[in-house]
Amino acid sequence: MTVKGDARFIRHLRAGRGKAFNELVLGYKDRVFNLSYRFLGDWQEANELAREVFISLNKNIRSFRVQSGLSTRIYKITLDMCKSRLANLRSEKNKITAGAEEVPGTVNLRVLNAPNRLLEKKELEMSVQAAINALPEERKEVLLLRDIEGLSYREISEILAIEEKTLKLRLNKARQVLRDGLAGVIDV
Amino acid sequence: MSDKCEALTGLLPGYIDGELPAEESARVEAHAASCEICRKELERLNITVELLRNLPRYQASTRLLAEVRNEIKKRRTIFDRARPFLKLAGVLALAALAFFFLKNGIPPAGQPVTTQKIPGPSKNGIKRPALKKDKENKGISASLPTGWQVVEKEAAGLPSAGGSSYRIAETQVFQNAYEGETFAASAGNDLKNRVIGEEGEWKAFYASVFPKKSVPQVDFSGKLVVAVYGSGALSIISAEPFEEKLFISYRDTVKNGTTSAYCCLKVVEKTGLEIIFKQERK
Repeated sequence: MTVKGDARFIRHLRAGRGKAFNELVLGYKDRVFNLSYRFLGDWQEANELAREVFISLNKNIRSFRVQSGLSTRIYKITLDMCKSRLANLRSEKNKITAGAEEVPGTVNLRVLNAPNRLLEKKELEMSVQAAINALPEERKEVLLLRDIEGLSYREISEILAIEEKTLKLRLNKARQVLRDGLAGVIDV
Repeated sequence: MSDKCEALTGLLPGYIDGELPAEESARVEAHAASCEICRKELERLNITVELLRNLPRYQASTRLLAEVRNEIKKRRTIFDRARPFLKLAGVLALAALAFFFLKNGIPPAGQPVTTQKIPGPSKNGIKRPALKKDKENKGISASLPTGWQVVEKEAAGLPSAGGSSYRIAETQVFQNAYEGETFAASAGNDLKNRVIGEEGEWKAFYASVFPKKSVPQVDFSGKLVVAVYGSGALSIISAEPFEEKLFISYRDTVKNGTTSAYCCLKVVEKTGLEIIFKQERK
């Protein structure tokens, strides 16, 4: 679950070695960016957030504990910052809201709800992203960690500090909501 | 949707993720085969999950690392920049402290030492005494930094401060408060600075100065009385050991002319050190 998830790597990080920090950024930047993008639904915001995540990691690097997994910590920080950013954006009534209609770069599902419509790959992705954007945060984070990042139940439970049972309930609900949101896309 | 369908709903995430035990997976499959609603539900969920898992994974900007580095550099505070130097200073300070204690010994644990900064060196050439390590003079002051002196006597049980700069009004022996104060010396006295180390000598001296007063008690087994003569503006400043000698520093602000008809007394610890009287001048 870590790039060089051994105690030695964390010790190097804590010692403030620049090379170790570079490795950390290079090893995790795509995961952090991808998760941020899927959570926020905005390319520019995700880019800025990924940068802030690593700056925050650098600032708090001395508090890293060897015992806790590095990736667990990075995912947790990323999600926390995503939620905080989303709240700010909502309060600013700018760019992103919980509703898909106001998310730039996404497609209004109502337009795409025509049954049996053949969607282009990009359009399909945009509609899925719009459905993700519409999810409540609690369900969204579970869904993204499981179905986008491919983490195990145990890892997700650790990151979100929730019981596995709660995690399964949230995941099931998230998938059902997403399925309903994509009713016009999924033809069964 | 039947009760059976409801019961299976909770198993769906585990089934889709392939994390159900074989027995439960078989239950889900058997039910889905016989229940069209659940089969379709399962199919839709499977497609949903497939859609999610097949979403393209994007890569962060190739400039991200450089941007992070630049931003960290920009946001560094003065404290962050000084951190390596502060660390070095801390290490050096610790090393200096360790060296000091190794050289001078560690003060007894649990015994508070009251210290007071003594003013800097006088202008007449006498440097502030630096305490030397001396087997017989291992007192509280021996473990204090140069320039710091014990000014109050510690609790019983501590080693003798060995002539450290006790307050002039240290003891109660001079109930008449003559210690540290200047008084007119008797014409019959030998007006030379002196050290009185015996009870007989003390009684004789005191009686010659204050014939009508009772002689204050002084424990000459551990103490001495020093007497300094000068003008009416006379005062004893300190008694401090320095290079195997005990310096009695006193000040007499009136220059020449006036007779040495006044005396000032001070009780000091008996240290065995040679006593030197030194007049400080402003």
